Amino acid sequence: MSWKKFEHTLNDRPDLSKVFPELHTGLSQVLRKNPEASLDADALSALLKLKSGDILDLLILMEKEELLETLLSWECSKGDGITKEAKNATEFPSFILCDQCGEMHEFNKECITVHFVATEELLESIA
Amino acid sequence: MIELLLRRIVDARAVGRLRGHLADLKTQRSLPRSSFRISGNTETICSSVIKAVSEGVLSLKDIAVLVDEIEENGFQHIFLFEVASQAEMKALQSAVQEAYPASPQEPTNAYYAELPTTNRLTHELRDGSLVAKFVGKTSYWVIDDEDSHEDENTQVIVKKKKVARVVHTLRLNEDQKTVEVRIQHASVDAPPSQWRRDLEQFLDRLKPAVDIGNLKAIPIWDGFQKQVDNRPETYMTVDEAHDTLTKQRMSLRRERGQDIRENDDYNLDEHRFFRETLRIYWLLNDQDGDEVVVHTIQQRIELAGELVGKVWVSRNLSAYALNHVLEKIRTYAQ
Repeated sequence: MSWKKFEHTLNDRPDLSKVFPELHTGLSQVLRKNPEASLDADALSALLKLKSGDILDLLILMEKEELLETLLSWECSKGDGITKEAKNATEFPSFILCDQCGEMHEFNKECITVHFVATEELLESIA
Repeated sequence: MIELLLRRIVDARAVGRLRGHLADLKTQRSLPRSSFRISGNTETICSSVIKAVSEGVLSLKDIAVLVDEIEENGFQHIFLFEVASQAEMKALQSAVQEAYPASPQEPTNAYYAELPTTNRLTHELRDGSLVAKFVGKTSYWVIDDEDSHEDENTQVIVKKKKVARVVHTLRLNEDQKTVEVRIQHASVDAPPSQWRRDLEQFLDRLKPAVDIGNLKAIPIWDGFQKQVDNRPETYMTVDEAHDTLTKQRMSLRRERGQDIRENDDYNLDEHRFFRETLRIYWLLNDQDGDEVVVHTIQQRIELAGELVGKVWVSRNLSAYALNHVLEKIRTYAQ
């Protein structure tokens, strides 16, 4: 689905419709610079000075329309970055030798963050 | 015996390396396609190798050299030293050759057993270096979740001892006057500090032939900035450094992706920063021209009161790839 078509789907959500243009501009800039950017409501809220809740609602709707996909990140418990990414929690092993810190980590849902990444469809419509 | 050697390769998750090794042997010896299989699943390839050895197409040594390469290169903590002169290096090599017997010419069950009954220290030549090779066992404790228990007022944590095969080496290169101590990490579930215990035991075993206290540690941390500056050959996802005012850490929010140094806000390449630890991937082509990515965590650590450089290499590699990276680390430290 293109941006334009997606915008039409917001006709029955005036609260999100008015926020959408700024999100569209901001996301386009972020993704042109780095197509692999990790997108979450908090970071985008800080960047675009929009309400985190509104951004999250839009991101969820974009995911439904396959403009975004959900990614789970297992963060290194020593704070050294991302140990492993997966689309589904079942892909995470119970234990993993972390490349970032060189130590073994046990799976703990506290270490998992959820964010979105752009699909090819979104990237093509931005280009 | 062949089953034992193949078990070492399978345990190291190196069946892919076995396929490549077999393909090289076929090419080098102009063997017919039907001599043994190099495609198929693990069981198929292992059965094919067993048959080829029993028919004399391959020898036990053909497979043992691969096991040696896998066990001696990667999944190790590596410490880099040097000596001042070739005379000093020759003296070290003589001491090792006198103190320890030569490694067996042909593979033996005892040498390649999953849990060797005896710890052995022998010497052999490897890639232009004299190598003192320890083959034996180590042990460590892991929490046993089944036997551990708790109630309202008491928590009982039960630890069980695990034993693992380990291969440690001391490598003395006469031409370069370099000394490497390579400590194999016992197992993925061994505690992070297990290497210290295994290193101390290995160094004790090496005395009096070799005393690390008499060697000069290569200050690999002096070369960290140069490695960071070498963008074409390296890749970074996390970096941490400090200057006189701040300590900064930056990491990617993705497992892979854009190099952290490409980020607009990355400033740790400024030469006012110091790193105790460098987490960096080296990118190279191996002897077959295939791309290899070597992940390292390099640290300045204290050992017996002295500062020493430690290089953790998380994966098993070819000798070529590992030696290439270690040479880079040494060169940049000059």
